[in-house]
Amino acid sequence: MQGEYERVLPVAILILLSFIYLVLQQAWPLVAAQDLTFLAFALCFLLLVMSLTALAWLFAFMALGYFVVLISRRCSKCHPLFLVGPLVILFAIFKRYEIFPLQSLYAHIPDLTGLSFIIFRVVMFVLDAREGNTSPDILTYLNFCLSPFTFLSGPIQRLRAFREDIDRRKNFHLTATDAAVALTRTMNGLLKVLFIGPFIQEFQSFFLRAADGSTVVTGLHALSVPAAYGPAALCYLLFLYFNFSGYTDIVIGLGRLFGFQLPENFNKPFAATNFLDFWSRWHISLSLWFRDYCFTPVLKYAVRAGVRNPAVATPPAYFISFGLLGLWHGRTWPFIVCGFMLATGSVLNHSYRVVISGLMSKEGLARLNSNQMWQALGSAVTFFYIAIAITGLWLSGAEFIAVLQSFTLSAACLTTIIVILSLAAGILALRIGLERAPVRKTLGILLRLIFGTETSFAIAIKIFIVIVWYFAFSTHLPDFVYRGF
Amino acid sequence: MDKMNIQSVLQEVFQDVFDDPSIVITRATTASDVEGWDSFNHVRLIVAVEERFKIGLSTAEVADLRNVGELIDLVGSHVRT
Repeated sequence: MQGEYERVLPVAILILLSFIYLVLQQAWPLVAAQDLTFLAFALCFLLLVMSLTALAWLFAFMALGYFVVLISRRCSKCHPLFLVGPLVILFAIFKRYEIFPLQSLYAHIPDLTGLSFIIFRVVMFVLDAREGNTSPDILTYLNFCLSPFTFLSGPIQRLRAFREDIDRRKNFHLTATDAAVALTRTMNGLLKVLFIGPFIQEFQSFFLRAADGSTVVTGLHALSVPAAYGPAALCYLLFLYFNFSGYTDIVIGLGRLFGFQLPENFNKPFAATNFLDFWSRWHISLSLWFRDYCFTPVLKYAVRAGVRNPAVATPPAYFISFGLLGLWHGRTWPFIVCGFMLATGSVLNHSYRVVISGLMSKEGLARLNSNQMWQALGSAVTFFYIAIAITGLWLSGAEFIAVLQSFTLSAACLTTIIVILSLAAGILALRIGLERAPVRKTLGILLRLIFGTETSFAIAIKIFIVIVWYFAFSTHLPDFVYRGF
Repeated sequence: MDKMNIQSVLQEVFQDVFDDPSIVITRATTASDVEGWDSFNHVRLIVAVEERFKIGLSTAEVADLRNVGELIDLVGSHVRT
Protein backbone atom coordinates (compact mmCIF):
# COMPACT_ATOMS: atom_id res chain seq x y z
CA MET A 1 0.00 0.00 0.00
CA GLN A 2 2.96 2.30 0.68
CA GLY A 3 3.85 2.08 -2.99
CA GLU A 4 0.37 3.26 -3.91
CA TYR A 5 0.87 6.48 -1.99
CA GLU A 6 4.18 7.10 -3.66
CA ARG A 7 2.37 6.72 -6.97
CA VAL A 8 -0.38 9.11 -5.88
CA LEU A 9 2.05 11.72 -4.55
CA PRO A 10 3.24 13.13 -7.93
CA VAL A 11 -0.40 13.51 -8.97
CA ALA A 12 -1.15 15.36 -5.71
CA ILE A 13 1.82 17.66 -6.36
CA LEU A 14 0.57 18.21 -9.91
CA ILE A 15 -2.87 19.21 -8.63
CA LEU A 16 -1.44 21.64 -6.07
CA LEU A 17 0.98 23.23 -8.56
CA SER A 18 -1.83 23.50 -11.10
CA PHE A 19 -3.85 25.57 -8.65
CA ILE A 20 -0.93 27.95 -8.15
CA TYR A 21 -0.60 28.19 -11.93
CA LEU A 22 -4.37 28.73 -12.17
CA VAL A 23 -4.16 31.69 -9.81
CA LEU A 24 -1.38 33.08 -11.99
CA GLN A 25 -3.46 32.52 -15.11
CA GLN A 26 -6.48 34.33 -13.66
CA ALA A 27 -4.40 37.22 -12.29
CA TRP A 28 -1.93 37.72 -15.16
CA PRO A 29 -3.25 35.79 -18.17
CA LEU A 30 -0.66 37.24 -20.53
CA VAL A 31 2.25 36.13 -18.35
CA ALA A 32 0.77 32.68 -17.75
CA ALA A 33 0.22 32.06 -21.47
CA GLN A 34 3.92 32.62 -22.25
CA ASP A 35 5.77 29.47 -23.33
CA LEU A 36 8.59 30.32 -20.91
CA THR A 37 6.15 30.54 -17.97
CA PHE A 38 4.78 27.16 -18.91
CA LEU A 39 8.30 25.75 -19.02
CA ALA A 40 8.98 27.20 -15.56
CA PHE A 41 5.80 25.52 -14.31
CA ALA A 42 6.98 22.23 -15.86
CA LEU A 43 10.46 22.55 -14.29
CA CYS A 44 8.97 23.27 -10.83
CA PHE A 45 6.92 20.12 -11.19
CA LEU A 46 9.93 18.03 -12.24
CA LEU A 47 12.05 19.32 -9.34
CA LEU A 48 9.32 18.29 -6.91
CA VAL A 49 8.69 14.80 -8.27
CA MET A 50 12.19 13.68 -9.31
CA SER A 51 15.63 13.52 -7.73
CA LEU A 52 18.33 15.76 -9.24
CA THR A 53 20.24 12.70 -10.49
CA ALA A 54 17.15 11.37 -12.26
CA LEU A 55 16.51 14.81 -13.72
CA ALA A 56 20.08 14.97 -15.03
CA TRP A 57 19.67 11.59 -16.77
CA LEU A 58 16.32 12.69 -18.18
CA PHE A 59 17.82 15.89 -19.59
CA ALA A 60 20.73 13.91 -21.03
CA PHE A 61 18.21 11.81 -22.96
CA MET A 62 16.30 14.89 -24.07
CA ALA A 63 19.54 16.56 -25.24
CA LEU A 64 20.48 13.48 -27.29
CA GLY A 65 16.91 13.47 -28.62
CA TYR A 66 17.21 17.10 -29.68
CA PHE A 67 20.52 16.30 -31.36
CA VAL A 68 18.65 13.73 -33.48
CA VAL A 69 15.97 16.39 -34.18
CA LEU A 70 18.69 18.70 -35.53
CA ILE A 71 20.15 15.92 -37.69
CA SER A 72 16.76 14.93 -39.05
CA ARG A 73 16.04 18.51 -40.05
CA ARG A 74 19.02 18.46 -42.40
CA CYS A 75 18.35 14.92 -43.50
CA SER A 76 14.92 14.70 -45.13
CA LYS A 77 16.27 11.91 -47.36
CA CYS A 78 17.39 9.80 -44.38
CA HIS A 79 15.41 6.63 -43.77
CA PRO A 80 13.24 7.20 -40.65
CA LEU A 81 14.66 4.01 -39.07
CA PHE A 82 18.15 5.51 -39.27
CA LEU A 83 16.91 8.35 -37.03
CA VAL A 84 14.41 6.55 -34.80
CA GLY A 85 16.39 3.29 -34.36
CA PRO A 86 19.26 4.79 -32.33
CA LEU A 87 16.75 6.72 -30.22
CA VAL A 88 14.85 3.55 -29.35
CA ILE A 89 18.08 1.72 -28.42
CA LEU A 90 19.11 4.70 -26.29
CA PHE A 91 15.70 4.66 -24.65
CA ALA A 92 16.04 0.94 -23.86
CA ILE A 93 19.43 1.59 -22.23
CA PHE A 94 18.21 4.58 -20.20
CA LYS A 95 15.23 2.49 -19.14
CA ARG A 96 17.65 -0.35 -18.11
CA TYR A 97 16.09 -2.98 -20.36
CA GLU A 98 17.37 -6.40 -19.34
CA ILE A 99 17.75 -7.31 -23.01
CA PHE A 100 21.15 -5.58 -22.96
CA PRO A 101 23.88 -7.02 -20.69
CA LEU A 102 24.87 -3.65 -19.22
CA GLN A 103 24.51 -4.31 -15.48
CA SER A 104 27.54 -2.18 -14.55
CA LEU A 105 26.14 0.83 -16.36
CA TYR A 106 22.61 0.17 -15.16
CA ALA A 107 23.80 0.34 -11.56
CA HIS A 108 24.24 4.10 -12.04
CA ILE A 109 20.91 4.86 -13.71
CA PRO A 110 17.96 5.64 -11.41
CA ASP A 111 14.28 5.09 -12.25
CA LEU A 112 13.39 7.74 -14.80
CA THR A 113 9.81 8.86 -14.30
CA GLY A 114 8.18 10.00 -17.52
CA LEU A 115 10.81 8.61 -19.91
CA SER A 116 8.45 5.89 -21.19
CA PHE A 117 6.18 8.61 -22.55
CA ILE A 118 8.86 11.11 -23.54
CA ILE A 119 10.20 8.63 -26.13
CA PHE A 120 6.92 8.85 -28.11
CA ARG A 121 7.06 12.64 -28.16
CA VAL A 122 10.74 12.75 -29.15
CA VAL A 123 10.06 10.32 -32.03
CA MET A 124 7.12 12.46 -33.22
CA PHE A 125 9.27 15.59 -33.00
CA VAL A 126 12.12 13.94 -34.93
CA LEU A 127 9.82 12.73 -37.73
CA ASP A 128 8.07 16.11 -37.86
CA ALA A 129 11.42 17.86 -38.22
CA ARG A 130 12.46 15.38 -40.93
CA GLU A 131 9.34 16.15 -42.92
CA GLY A 132 10.21 19.83 -42.53
CA ASN A 133 6.73 20.87 -41.44
CA THR A 134 7.59 23.61 -38.97
CA SER A 135 10.74 24.90 -37.37
CA PRO A 136 11.73 22.60 -34.51
CA ASP A 137 12.36 25.27 -31.88
CA ILE A 138 13.76 24.10 -28.57
CA LEU A 139 11.10 25.77 -26.41
CA THR A 140 8.29 23.85 -28.12
CA TYR A 141 10.41 20.70 -27.84
CA LEU A 142 10.90 21.13 -24.09
CA ASN A 143 7.28 22.07 -23.40
CA PHE A 144 6.00 19.24 -25.56
CA CYS A 145 8.19 16.64 -23.84
CA LEU A 146 7.87 17.96 -20.29
CA SER A 147 4.28 19.25 -20.13
CA PRO A 148 3.24 18.29 -16.56
CA PHE A 149 -0.25 17.33 -17.73
CA THR A 150 1.09 14.46 -19.83
CA PHE A 151 4.47 13.88 -18.18
CA LEU A 152 3.70 11.08 -15.72
CA SER A 153 1.68 8.63 -17.84
CA GLY A 154 0.37 10.38 -20.94
CA PRO A 155 -2.08 10.61 -22.65
CA ILE A 156 0.12 10.76 -25.75
CA GLN A 157 -0.85 13.97 -27.49
CA ARG A 158 0.07 14.53 -31.14
CA LEU A 159 2.52 17.30 -31.92
CA ARG A 160 0.06 19.12 -34.18
CA ALA A 161 -2.64 19.04 -31.48
CA PHE A 162 -0.11 20.30 -28.92
CA ARG A 163 0.85 23.20 -31.19
CA GLU A 164 -2.84 24.06 -31.65
CA ASP A 165 -3.26 24.04 -27.86
CA ILE A 166 -0.26 26.30 -27.37
CA ASP A 167 -1.70 28.75 -29.94
CA ARG A 168 -5.14 28.62 -28.38
CA ARG A 169 -3.68 29.38 -24.96
CA LYS A 170 -2.57 32.83 -26.17
CA ASN A 171 -6.22 33.96 -26.13
CA PHE A 172 -7.58 31.52 -23.61
CA HIS A 173 -10.26 32.62 -21.20
CA LEU A 174 -11.58 30.16 -18.63
CA THR A 175 -15.34 30.41 -18.15
CA ALA A 176 -17.05 29.30 -14.93
CA THR A 177 -18.90 26.52 -16.76
CA ASP A 178 -15.71 25.15 -18.33
CA ALA A 179 -13.96 25.29 -14.97
CA ALA A 180 -16.79 23.32 -13.32
CA VAL A 181 -16.71 20.67 -16.07
CA ALA A 182 -12.90 20.42 -15.87
CA LEU A 183 -12.77 20.21 -12.06
CA THR A 184 -15.55 17.62 -12.01
CA ARG A 185 -13.50 15.49 -14.39
CA THR A 186 -10.46 15.81 -12.14
CA MET A 187 -12.40 15.01 -8.97
CA ASN A 188 -14.01 11.98 -10.64
CA GLY A 189 -10.55 10.76 -11.55
CA LEU A 190 -9.44 11.15 -7.95
CA LEU A 191 -12.47 9.18 -6.75
CA LYS A 192 -11.59 6.38 -9.19
CA VAL A 193 -7.92 6.27 -8.12
CA LEU A 194 -8.42 6.69 -4.36
CA PHE A 195 -11.65 4.80 -3.73
CA ILE A 196 -12.64 2.37 -6.49
CA GLY A 197 -9.08 1.24 -7.36
CA PRO A 198 -7.99 0.20 -3.85
CA PHE A 199 -11.36 -1.48 -3.33
CA ILE A 200 -10.76 -3.75 -6.34
CA GLN A 201 -7.17 -4.30 -5.27
CA GLU A 202 -8.47 -5.82 -2.07
CA PHE A 203 -10.32 -8.41 -4.14
CA GLN A 204 -7.06 -9.21 -5.88
CA SER A 205 -5.22 -9.74 -2.61
CA PHE A 206 -8.15 -11.80 -1.42
CA PHE A 207 -7.62 -14.21 -4.33
CA LEU A 208 -3.85 -14.20 -3.81
CA ARG A 209 -4.27 -15.03 -0.13
CA ALA A 210 -6.76 -17.73 -1.08
CA ALA A 211 -4.02 -19.44 -3.10
CA ASP A 212 -2.41 -20.34 0.16
CA GLY A 213 -2.52 -19.23 3.75
CA SER A 214 0.24 -16.68 3.19
CA THR A 215 1.51 -15.52 -0.20
CA VAL A 216 1.38 -16.76 -3.72
CA VAL A 217 5.03 -17.73 -3.79
CA THR A 218 5.48 -20.16 -0.96
CA GLY A 219 3.79 -23.47 -0.20
CA LEU A 220 1.85 -24.10 -3.36
CA HIS A 221 -0.79 -26.66 -4.12
CA ALA A 222 -1.56 -28.16 -7.48
CA LEU A 223 -4.85 -26.39 -8.08
CA SER A 224 -5.02 -23.53 -5.62
CA VAL A 225 -2.47 -21.32 -7.40
CA PRO A 226 -3.84 -21.66 -10.95
CA ALA A 227 -7.36 -21.24 -9.56
CA ALA A 228 -6.39 -18.06 -7.71
CA TYR A 229 -4.01 -16.68 -10.33
CA GLY A 230 -6.66 -16.23 -13.07
CA PRO A 231 -9.19 -14.30 -10.94
CA ALA A 232 -6.35 -12.27 -9.36
CA ALA A 233 -5.08 -11.31 -12.85
CA LEU A 234 -8.62 -10.30 -13.89
CA CYS A 235 -8.97 -8.19 -10.73
CA TYR A 236 -5.71 -6.48 -11.61
CA LEU A 237 -6.99 -5.62 -15.10
CA LEU A 238 -10.10 -4.07 -13.57
CA PHE A 239 -7.98 -2.24 -10.97
CA LEU A 240 -5.70 -0.97 -13.71
CA TYR A 241 -8.70 0.41 -15.60
CA PHE A 242 -9.86 2.48 -12.62
CA ASN A 243 -6.34 3.50 -11.67
CA PHE A 244 -5.25 4.52 -15.17
CA SER A 245 -8.54 5.96 -16.46
CA GLY A 246 -8.76 7.83 -13.13
CA TYR A 247 -5.29 9.28 -13.68
CA THR A 248 -6.28 10.23 -17.23
CA ASP A 249 -9.45 11.94 -15.99
CA ILE A 250 -7.36 13.94 -13.52
CA VAL A 251 -4.90 15.25 -16.11
CA ILE A 252 -7.49 15.81 -18.86
CA GLY A 253 -9.53 17.86 -16.36
CA LEU A 254 -6.49 19.84 -15.17
CA GLY A 255 -5.36 20.44 -18.75
CA ARG A 256 -8.77 21.91 -19.65
CA LEU A 257 -8.32 24.58 -16.97
CA PHE A 258 -5.44 25.88 -19.08
CA GLY A 259 -6.84 25.38 -22.57
CA PHE A 260 -5.25 21.98 -23.28
CA GLN A 261 -7.45 19.50 -25.13
CA LEU A 262 -5.73 16.22 -24.28
CA PRO A 263 -6.78 13.09 -26.18
CA GLU A 264 -9.05 10.51 -24.55
CA ASN A 265 -7.50 7.19 -23.49
CA PHE A 266 -10.49 4.95 -22.77
CA ASN A 267 -13.78 4.17 -24.49
CA LYS A 268 -15.60 1.49 -22.46
CA PRO A 269 -12.89 -1.19 -22.81
CA PHE A 270 -14.99 -3.80 -21.05
CA ALA A 271 -17.60 -3.57 -23.80
CA ALA A 272 -14.98 -5.04 -26.18
CA THR A 273 -15.77 -8.43 -27.67
CA ASN A 274 -12.37 -9.27 -29.13
CA PHE A 275 -8.66 -8.52 -28.73
CA LEU A 276 -8.32 -5.88 -31.46
CA ASP A 277 -11.58 -4.26 -30.33
CA PHE A 278 -10.18 -4.08 -26.79
CA TRP A 279 -7.07 -2.25 -27.95
CA SER A 280 -9.17 0.27 -29.86
CA ARG A 281 -10.85 1.11 -26.54
CA TRP A 282 -7.98 0.74 -24.01
CA HIS A 283 -5.06 3.20 -23.74
CA ILE A 284 -6.25 4.61 -27.06
CA SER A 285 -3.57 7.27 -27.42
CA LEU A 286 -0.92 4.52 -27.14
CA SER A 287 -2.53 2.09 -29.60
CA LEU A 288 -3.19 4.90 -32.10
CA TRP A 289 0.45 5.93 -31.80
CA PHE A 290 1.58 2.40 -32.58
CA ARG A 291 -0.93 2.22 -35.43
CA ASP A 292 0.40 5.38 -37.07
CA TYR A 293 4.11 5.14 -36.28
CA CYS A 294 4.65 1.37 -36.45
CA PHE A 295 1.81 -0.64 -38.01
CA THR A 296 1.14 1.64 -40.99
CA PRO A 297 4.85 2.21 -41.83
CA VAL A 298 5.48 -1.57 -41.80
CA LEU A 299 2.50 -2.12 -44.13
CA LYS A 300 3.63 0.77 -46.32
CA TYR A 301 7.07 -0.75 -46.58
CA ALA A 302 5.52 -4.07 -47.64
CA VAL A 303 3.22 -2.43 -50.21
CA ARG A 304 6.11 -0.42 -51.68
CA ALA A 305 8.14 -3.64 -51.86
CA GLY A 306 5.40 -5.01 -54.08
CA VAL A 307 3.44 -7.21 -51.68
CA ARG A 308 -0.10 -7.43 -53.04
CA ASN A 309 -1.46 -10.07 -50.70
CA PRO A 310 -2.73 -8.78 -47.34
CA ALA A 311 -2.28 -12.25 -45.81
CA VAL A 312 1.50 -11.82 -46.30
CA ALA A 313 1.82 -8.21 -45.13
CA THR A 314 -0.73 -7.70 -42.35
CA PRO A 315 0.20 -10.45 -39.81
CA PRO A 316 3.86 -9.34 -39.56
CA ALA A 317 2.73 -5.72 -39.15
CA TYR A 318 0.43 -6.74 -36.31
CA PHE A 319 3.10 -8.94 -34.75
CA ILE A 320 5.76 -6.22 -34.77
CA SER A 321 3.41 -3.47 -33.53
CA PHE A 322 1.81 -5.40 -30.68
CA GLY A 323 5.12 -7.05 -29.79
CA LEU A 324 6.75 -3.64 -29.30
CA LEU A 325 3.64 -2.31 -27.54
CA GLY A 326 3.84 -5.17 -25.04
CA LEU A 327 7.60 -4.85 -24.62
CA TRP A 328 7.19 -1.13 -23.92
CA HIS A 329 5.21 -1.91 -20.76
CA GLY A 330 8.29 -2.93 -18.78
CA ARG A 331 11.99 -3.64 -18.88
CA THR A 332 12.13 -7.14 -17.35
CA TRP A 333 11.65 -10.52 -19.00
CA PRO A 334 7.94 -10.92 -18.06
CA PHE A 335 7.38 -8.09 -20.54
CA ILE A 336 9.01 -10.13 -23.29
CA VAL A 337 6.26 -12.64 -22.50
CA CYS A 338 3.79 -9.73 -22.56
CA GLY A 339 5.05 -8.54 -25.96
CA PHE A 340 4.93 -12.06 -27.37
CA MET A 341 1.43 -12.70 -26.02
CA LEU A 342 0.02 -9.40 -27.33
CA ALA A 343 1.72 -9.95 -30.70
CA THR A 344 0.33 -13.49 -30.95
CA GLY A 345 -3.10 -12.33 -29.79
CA SER A 346 -3.33 -9.65 -32.47
CA VAL A 347 -2.25 -12.05 -35.22
CA LEU A 348 -4.69 -14.75 -34.04
CA ASN A 349 -7.55 -12.24 -33.84
CA HIS A 350 -6.75 -10.90 -37.30
CA SER A 351 -6.45 -14.39 -38.79
CA TYR A 352 -9.73 -15.39 -37.17
CA ARG A 353 -11.45 -12.41 -38.82
CA VAL A 354 -10.01 -13.27 -42.23
CA VAL A 355 -10.78 -16.99 -42.00
CA ILE A 356 -14.29 -16.66 -40.62
CA SER A 357 -15.33 -13.97 -43.11
CA GLY A 358 -14.10 -16.29 -45.87
CA LEU A 359 -16.02 -19.26 -44.48
CA MET A 360 -19.34 -17.63 -43.71
CA SER A 361 -21.85 -15.59 -45.66
CA LYS A 362 -22.18 -11.91 -44.79
CA GLU A 363 -25.53 -12.46 -43.08
CA GLY A 364 -24.26 -15.50 -41.19
CA LEU A 365 -21.26 -13.53 -39.93
CA ALA A 366 -23.45 -10.60 -38.85
CA ARG A 367 -25.72 -13.07 -37.01
CA LEU A 368 -22.79 -14.72 -35.26
CA ASN A 369 -21.24 -11.39 -34.27
CA SER A 370 -24.49 -10.12 -32.79
CA ASN A 371 -25.09 -13.31 -30.79
CA GLN A 372 -24.86 -12.28 -27.15
CA MET A 373 -23.46 -15.58 -25.95
CA TRP A 374 -20.75 -15.51 -28.60
CA GLN A 375 -19.95 -11.89 -27.69
CA ALA A 376 -19.71 -12.73 -23.97
CA LEU A 377 -17.39 -15.64 -24.72
CA GLY A 378 -15.24 -13.38 -26.93
CA SER A 379 -15.08 -10.76 -24.17
CA ALA A 380 -14.15 -13.36 -21.54
CA VAL A 381 -11.35 -14.86 -23.65
CA THR A 382 -10.06 -11.35 -24.46
CA PHE A 383 -10.04 -10.05 -20.88
CA PHE A 384 -8.49 -13.25 -19.52
CA TYR A 385 -5.79 -13.33 -22.20
CA ILE A 386 -4.82 -9.68 -21.71
CA ALA A 387 -4.96 -9.99 -17.91
CA ILE A 388 -2.48 -12.90 -18.10
CA ALA A 389 -0.28 -11.04 -20.60
CA ILE A 390 0.23 -8.05 -18.28
CA THR A 391 1.14 -10.20 -15.25
CA GLY A 392 4.55 -8.49 -15.20
CA LEU A 393 2.87 -5.32 -13.92
CA TRP A 394 2.00 -6.94 -10.58
CA LEU A 395 4.34 -9.96 -10.22
CA SER A 396 8.13 -9.78 -10.28
CA GLY A 397 10.11 -12.13 -12.51
CA ALA A 398 10.90 -14.47 -9.58
CA GLU A 399 7.28 -14.58 -8.44
CA PHE A 400 6.15 -15.18 -12.02
CA ILE A 401 8.50 -18.18 -12.26
CA ALA A 402 7.25 -19.51 -8.92
CA VAL A 403 3.66 -19.27 -10.14
CA LEU A 404 4.49 -20.94 -13.46
CA GLN A 405 6.41 -23.75 -11.73
CA SER A 406 3.46 -24.48 -9.50
CA PHE A 407 1.29 -25.15 -12.56
CA THR A 408 0.70 -28.53 -13.99
CA LEU A 409 -0.57 -28.41 -17.55
CA SER A 410 -3.84 -30.14 -16.73
CA ALA A 411 -4.53 -27.88 -13.74
CA ALA A 412 -3.78 -24.80 -15.84
CA CYS A 413 -6.08 -25.93 -18.66
CA LEU A 414 -8.85 -26.91 -16.28
CA THR A 415 -8.78 -23.63 -14.34
CA THR A 416 -8.49 -21.58 -17.55
CA ILE A 417 -11.64 -23.20 -18.94
CA ILE A 418 -13.50 -22.75 -15.65
CA VAL A 419 -12.42 -19.10 -15.25
CA ILE A 420 -13.27 -18.20 -18.87
CA LEU A 421 -16.65 -19.93 -18.79
CA SER A 422 -17.68 -18.41 -15.47
CA LEU A 423 -16.43 -15.00 -16.60
CA ALA A 424 -18.43 -15.33 -19.83
CA ALA A 425 -21.53 -16.29 -17.84
CA GLY A 426 -21.01 -13.31 -15.55
CA ILE A 427 -20.53 -10.92 -18.47
CA LEU A 428 -23.62 -12.30 -20.21
CA ALA A 429 -25.73 -11.91 -17.07
CA LEU A 430 -24.40 -8.39 -16.53
CA ARG A 431 -25.07 -7.31 -20.11
CA ILE A 432 -28.58 -8.81 -20.14
CA GLY A 433 -29.23 -7.12 -16.80
CA LEU A 434 -27.99 -3.77 -18.11
CA GLU A 435 -30.39 -4.03 -21.06
CA ARG A 436 -33.38 -3.93 -18.72
CA ALA A 437 -34.90 -0.46 -18.60
CA PRO A 438 -35.28 -0.13 -14.81
CA VAL A 439 -31.69 -1.28 -14.18
CA ARG A 440 -30.38 1.05 -16.88
CA LYS A 441 -32.36 3.96 -15.50
CA THR A 442 -31.34 3.44 -11.87
CA LEU A 443 -27.70 2.96 -12.81
CA GLY A 444 -27.83 6.03 -15.06
CA ILE A 445 -29.22 8.18 -12.25
CA LEU A 446 -26.63 6.83 -9.82
CA LEU A 447 -23.70 7.43 -12.18
CA ARG A 448 -24.96 10.92 -13.05
CA LEU A 449 -25.30 11.69 -9.37
CA ILE A 450 -21.75 10.53 -8.55
CA PHE A 451 -19.81 11.54 -11.66
CA GLY A 452 -22.02 13.84 -13.72
CA THR A 453 -23.09 16.65 -11.40
CA GLU A 454 -21.05 19.61 -12.59
CA THR A 455 -21.77 22.26 -9.97
CA SER A 456 -19.35 23.91 -7.61
CA PHE A 457 -21.38 22.46 -4.73
CA ALA A 458 -20.86 18.89 -6.00
CA ILE A 459 -17.16 19.57 -6.55
CA ALA A 460 -16.86 20.96 -3.01
CA ILE A 461 -18.49 17.83 -1.58
CA LYS A 462 -16.05 15.62 -3.50
CA ILE A 463 -13.06 17.63 -2.30
CA PHE A 464 -14.41 17.37 1.24
CA ILE A 465 -14.81 13.59 0.95
CA VAL A 466 -11.27 13.16 -0.38
CA ILE A 467 -9.75 15.32 2.39
CA VAL A 468 -11.72 13.63 5.17
CA TRP A 469 -10.87 10.22 3.77
CA TYR A 470 -7.20 11.11 3.58
CA PHE A 471 -6.93 12.37 7.15
CA ALA A 472 -9.16 9.72 8.68
CA PHE A 473 -8.03 6.55 7.01
CA SER A 474 -4.94 6.94 4.86
CA THR A 475 -2.37 5.68 7.36
CA HIS A 476 -4.55 2.78 8.49
CA LEU A 477 -6.15 1.98 5.18
CA PRO A 478 -4.84 -1.56 4.63
CA ASP A 479 -5.80 -2.48 8.18
CA PHE A 480 -9.22 -0.93 7.79
CA VAL A 481 -10.11 -2.68 4.57
CA TYR A 482 -8.65 -6.02 5.60
CA ARG A 483 -10.99 -6.11 8.53
CA GLY A 484 -13.87 -5.88 6.09
CA PHE A 485 -13.11 -9.36 4.74
CA MET B 1 -4.94 21.17 -60.26
CA ASP B 2 -8.25 22.22 -58.69
CA LYS B 3 -10.33 20.27 -56.18
CA MET B 4 -12.74 18.81 -58.76
CA ASN B 5 -9.87 17.48 -60.86
CA ILE B 6 -8.21 15.98 -57.80
CA GLN B 7 -11.49 14.30 -56.87
CA SER B 8 -11.92 12.74 -60.32
CA VAL B 9 -8.31 11.51 -60.41
CA LEU B 10 -8.72 10.17 -56.86
CA GLN B 11 -11.82 8.32 -58.00
CA GLU B 12 -9.75 6.47 -60.60
CA VAL B 13 -7.18 5.62 -57.91
CA PHE B 14 -9.96 4.30 -55.65
CA GLN B 15 -11.46 2.21 -58.46
CA ASP B 16 -8.03 0.80 -59.22
CA VAL B 17 -7.02 0.05 -55.59
CA PHE B 18 -10.35 -1.51 -54.63
CA ASP B 19 -10.67 -3.16 -58.02
CA ASP B 20 -14.23 -1.88 -58.41
CA PRO B 21 -15.01 0.43 -61.37
CA SER B 22 -18.40 1.32 -59.86
CA ILE B 23 -16.96 3.20 -56.84
CA VAL B 24 -18.12 6.82 -56.67
CA ILE B 25 -16.46 8.95 -54.00
CA THR B 26 -17.76 12.13 -52.41
CA ARG B 27 -16.12 14.43 -49.87
CA ALA B 28 -18.10 12.70 -47.12
CA THR B 29 -16.99 9.16 -48.03
CA THR B 30 -15.28 7.30 -45.15
CA ALA B 31 -13.64 3.89 -44.80
CA SER B 32 -16.88 2.28 -43.65
CA ASP B 33 -18.62 3.29 -46.93
CA VAL B 34 -16.24 1.37 -49.19
CA GLU B 35 -16.19 -2.42 -49.22
CA GLY B 36 -12.71 -3.75 -48.49
CA TRP B 37 -11.28 -0.49 -47.10
CA ASP B 38 -9.28 -2.17 -44.33
CA SER B 39 -5.90 -1.21 -42.91
CA PHE B 40 -3.98 -2.96 -45.70
CA ASN B 41 -5.99 -1.40 -48.53
CA HIS B 42 -5.78 1.95 -46.77
CA VAL B 43 -2.00 1.78 -47.03
CA ARG B 44 -2.25 0.62 -50.66
CA LEU B 45 -4.51 3.59 -51.29
CA ILE B 46 -2.09 6.07 -49.72
CA VAL B 47 0.87 4.62 -51.63
CA ALA B 48 -1.16 4.74 -54.87
CA VAL B 49 -2.17 8.36 -54.20
CA GLU B 50 1.48 9.28 -53.55
CA GLU B 51 2.58 7.66 -56.81
CA ARG B 52 -0.28 9.06 -58.90
CA PHE B 53 0.18 12.68 -57.74
CA LYS B 54 3.97 12.31 -57.28
CA ILE B 55 3.82 13.61 -53.71
CA GLY B 56 4.93 12.35 -50.28
CA LEU B 57 2.43 12.26 -47.45
CA SER B 58 3.74 12.31 -43.88
CA THR B 59 2.76 9.95 -41.08
CA ALA B 60 1.03 12.70 -39.12
CA GLU B 61 -0.86 13.98 -42.17
CA VAL B 62 -2.22 10.56 -43.07
CA ALA B 63 -3.12 9.82 -39.44
CA ASP B 64 -5.29 12.94 -39.21
CA LEU B 65 -7.49 12.06 -42.21
CA ARG B 66 -11.15 11.51 -41.38
CA ASN B 67 -12.81 11.32 -44.81
CA VAL B 68 -12.17 11.62 -48.53
CA GLY B 69 -12.76 15.39 -48.37
CA GLU B 70 -9.76 15.80 -46.09
CA LEU B 71 -7.70 13.58 -48.39
CA ILE B 72 -8.64 15.84 -51.34
CA ASP B 73 -7.61 18.93 -49.35
CA LEU B 74 -4.35 17.28 -48.27
CA VAL B 75 -3.46 16.26 -51.83
CA GLY B 76 -4.45 19.77 -52.98
CA SER B 77 -2.07 21.39 -50.49
CA HIS B 78 0.82 19.22 -51.73
CA VAL B 79 0.10 19.58 -55.45
CA ARG B 80 -0.07 23.37 -55.29
CA THR B 81 3.21 23.83 -53.40
